Amino acid sequence: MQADKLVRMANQISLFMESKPSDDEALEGLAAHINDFWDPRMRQQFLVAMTADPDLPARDLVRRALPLIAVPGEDDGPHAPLSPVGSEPINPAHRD
Amino acid sequence: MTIPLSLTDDHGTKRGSAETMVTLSVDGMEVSVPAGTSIMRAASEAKIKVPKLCATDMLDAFGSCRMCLVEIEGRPGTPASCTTPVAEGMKVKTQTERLKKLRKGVMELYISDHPLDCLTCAANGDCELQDMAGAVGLRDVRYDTVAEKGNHFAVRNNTGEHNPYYLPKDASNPYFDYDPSKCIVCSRCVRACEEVQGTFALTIAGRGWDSRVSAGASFDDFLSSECVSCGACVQACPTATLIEKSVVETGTPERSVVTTCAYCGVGCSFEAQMRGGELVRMVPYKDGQANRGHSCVKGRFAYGYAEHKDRILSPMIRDRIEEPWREVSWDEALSFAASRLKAVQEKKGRRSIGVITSSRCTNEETYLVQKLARAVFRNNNTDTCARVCHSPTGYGLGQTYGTSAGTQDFDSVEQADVVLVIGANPTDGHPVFASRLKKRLREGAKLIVVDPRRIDLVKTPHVKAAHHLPLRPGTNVAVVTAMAHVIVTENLQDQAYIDERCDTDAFADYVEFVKDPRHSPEAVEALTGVPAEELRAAARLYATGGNAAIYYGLGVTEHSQGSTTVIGIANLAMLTGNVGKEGAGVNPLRGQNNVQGSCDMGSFPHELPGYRHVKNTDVRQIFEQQWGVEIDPEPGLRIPNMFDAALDGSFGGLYCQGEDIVQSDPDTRHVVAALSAMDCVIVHDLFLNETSNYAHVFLPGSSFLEKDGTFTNAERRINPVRRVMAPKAGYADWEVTQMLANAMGANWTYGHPQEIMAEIAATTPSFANVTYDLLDKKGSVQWPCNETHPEGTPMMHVDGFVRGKGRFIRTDYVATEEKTGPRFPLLLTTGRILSQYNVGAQTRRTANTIWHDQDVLEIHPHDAENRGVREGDWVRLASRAGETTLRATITDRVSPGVVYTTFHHPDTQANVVTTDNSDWATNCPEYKVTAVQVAPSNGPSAWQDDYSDHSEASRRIIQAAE
Repeated sequence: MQADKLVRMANQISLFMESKPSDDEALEGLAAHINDFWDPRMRQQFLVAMTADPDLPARDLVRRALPLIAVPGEDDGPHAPLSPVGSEPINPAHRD
Repeated sequence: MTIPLSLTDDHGTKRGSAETMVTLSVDGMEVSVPAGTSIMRAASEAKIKVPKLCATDMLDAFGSCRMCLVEIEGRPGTPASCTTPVAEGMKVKTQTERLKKLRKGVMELYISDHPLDCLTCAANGDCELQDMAGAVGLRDVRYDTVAEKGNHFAVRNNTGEHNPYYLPKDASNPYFDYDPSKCIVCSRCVRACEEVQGTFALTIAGRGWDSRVSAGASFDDFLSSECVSCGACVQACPTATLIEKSVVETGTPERSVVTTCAYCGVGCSFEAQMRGGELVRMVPYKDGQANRGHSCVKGRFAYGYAEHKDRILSPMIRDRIEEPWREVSWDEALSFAASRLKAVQEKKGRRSIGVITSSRCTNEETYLVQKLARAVFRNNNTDTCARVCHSPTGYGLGQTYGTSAGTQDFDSVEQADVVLVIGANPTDGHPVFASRLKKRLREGAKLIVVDPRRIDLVKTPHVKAAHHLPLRPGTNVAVVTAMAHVIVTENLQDQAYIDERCDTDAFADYVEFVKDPRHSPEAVEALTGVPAEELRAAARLYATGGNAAIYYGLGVTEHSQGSTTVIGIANLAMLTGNVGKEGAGVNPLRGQNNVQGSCDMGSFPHELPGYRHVKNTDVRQIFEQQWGVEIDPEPGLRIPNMFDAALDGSFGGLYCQGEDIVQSDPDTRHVVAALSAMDCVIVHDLFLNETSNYAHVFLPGSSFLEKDGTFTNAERRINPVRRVMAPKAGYADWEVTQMLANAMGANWTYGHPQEIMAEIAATTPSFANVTYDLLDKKGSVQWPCNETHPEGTPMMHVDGFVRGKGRFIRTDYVATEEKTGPRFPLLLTTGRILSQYNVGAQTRRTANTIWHDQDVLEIHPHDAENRGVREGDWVRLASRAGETTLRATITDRVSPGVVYTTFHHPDTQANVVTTDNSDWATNCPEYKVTAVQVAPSNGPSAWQDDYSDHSEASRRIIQAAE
């Protein structure tokens, strides 16, 4: 997924959360929203993109929430069907 | 019409609503009815049918036909029983020598001016006049002079001259005929149009012998008049004067099955009246708890799509979307689909395929489709069309109240004193609810409309909005917050209610936020375009006018701040104590017949059935035990995320049931590119819709007439859907999903949808007590239906909010990124029209196209003149996403700077223009705001031409060899 789109979505969430009375609430609210509603590959791609390119136009709250965003596990989850030998590894970071 | 096979009785007049009961005797039978009830009704409840012609219990008593005369002991004369209220101890006789003579005389007069062609009349066997002639024993008609002078039904009079009183049949309406020669001028049609529908399209023109039913003005016929074809007049007519064309052509039905309409979220109950396997007509069911015997043109008449020749009845497959379709057996299609889906998963991983559940299918079918994703695909990639309509409702009401559904039933509107309609156009989108609302408004309730367009409700016969706030599209949050600002700063809130029921810390914080002068109507006026004084007056009325109800639609949700507006609306209702009582509440008008149900059934990628997040182990365990598989704890992809993931290669397979995402979802080019990038798209639908142009597998669907199940409407009402004919393609949709699951290796063995409902009830607390037996017994139930509420819940949050304390949340206005500028100076907003339904797959295949055969662009005269656009001109409509062309209509319903169109027709492709902006919380697309430019044009755009060529090529079918 395109990094700029993910950043735009995160910024939109941030704009709502920034109106929260306390900074902690805003920070937790932002991270929880992303953890609850973004599929693991979106979070993974987002974290990878944010780490790789510090110039992405993310709002301050978004940057500060990064450590609170759950990193999807290496495994594709419980009981993933076995990939056939020689097939592509499932690593969203390696997609364009 | 009288419906001899109808499942409800016509008691002639409505039952009184008083609490005091009155006991009287009718023909020696004791009967007790509420004070205010008519003698006719009381008699009917004692199983005594007083002869009648102008009375029907859908309407107020009228007392014109003089057939229902009775004698009352101690009173002179023979009063009409329909207009005479009961009194304690009254002794009524309905059949005496004097009454018999009077009635026979009246009937003789009626019949003297009525053709005696009963045997060839379309209402033969279904005519109240015929029944009453029989009931009074009429054997002879003596008034030959009528025929000599000229009656109302003979083309020529006795002397062979043209009869000036004869009027020919008006067959202009595509669904019913008006034959003036059979009219007895009982005014039932006129009163139905006024009282039930509220359109006032009909009247009685002329006086005495000249009295005729007239639609619109004298030069109008039914089609050109204001008539909206709701069918209420046809329903009310006691003769063949107003009659369905389907009955004229087919004959009378022989049995009746109660089922639920498959159009909008009102969820009207209908009697499907059948002869053999043929549907003769759909008649609104009087005991239907959502519609109370009323209907609109779609549910009543536009069911012909179910029999349309475009229905695809054989499964089809193709390797690549450029190839023509090949008709194959079910087995071949399903194993092809299953092997493709498995191949995608093997190549791209477990989370690379998903489903879209249908908000047009039943709860049971939707449940199975999300179960297919969760238990068979083993991921949470399931979403539904609510993503693009009411997902912000789910989020907003969930956050504030603890449950994501409307708070009231539709009956509640009868007790509303103030109605606030925001971003909804009920007379077009939810017509049967609109009729009930208009009735209440005619009784004196006040109306506030917040909408960029001057929708019909703002001013319609005998209804005028107290306030219309014509806001600039995209500024809902600013308007709603400004209303709250007025309420708080003028101290109009219901403090006792807030102290008792709401979270006090959250309230204190909210007050702090909202009283800031930057939220005042004056401060936001420049932004919203709403005059501050008008907004203040509207807020005062809402806060102080009595029971205040909010009804809202997609004009609230389909914005980048859709969820914030829903929260703002929830705040307003809490502030004024308008949640948890009759006549009030927060009521989302849901778009599709079962969009509420599809959300309830766990169609969203983060929620299991009953709105419980997949991250919660205890919830997953319930389903893991039931299904015998482990459930992925991570949320899945939402529809727009699926498209993005398809384009980056991590998503390659989709099973899409009953939804046309290519036409309905925003930014068509993006959707088309995403679908084209997938390896396996399975479309399960009635027709080769636009999405199927990009599909590899087509599985034929079944219409709502062909299966059992339930739909849940906007009131949380679970309505039964009953099979009246066999599935044309062989299987109901739930069976097809089951076969696909089994082809993927599952071992599902459901034999009937009620087994699926049993599983839903076993796993979902709000459905715990729902069974088909209960639905048969009660007609319908509103969830939650469980141990605490064994017969359902008409109103939510009665003694407190579902989440405990109601929670106020700040609603800061954030301007949408979709901004006007020199290139795109106008704002486009979209909506729908009465006669068409969403992408039009159903209604375009009916005679409804007579009212709306193409999408047109509404543009203000000022903007039109600047651009040299004239009425009916082709115009090019361009945005940052794309462009299309359509015809323009010039109207001041839209404000300067705003243009509007519908999205019912695939050749218009309004969604080529809409962008991929979306709601911050739910990714619900921002359909309602697109910056555009409009310019005169010569005809369809290159995209439209290419698209139409491509569509045609994509729909080629190679028939299976015999």
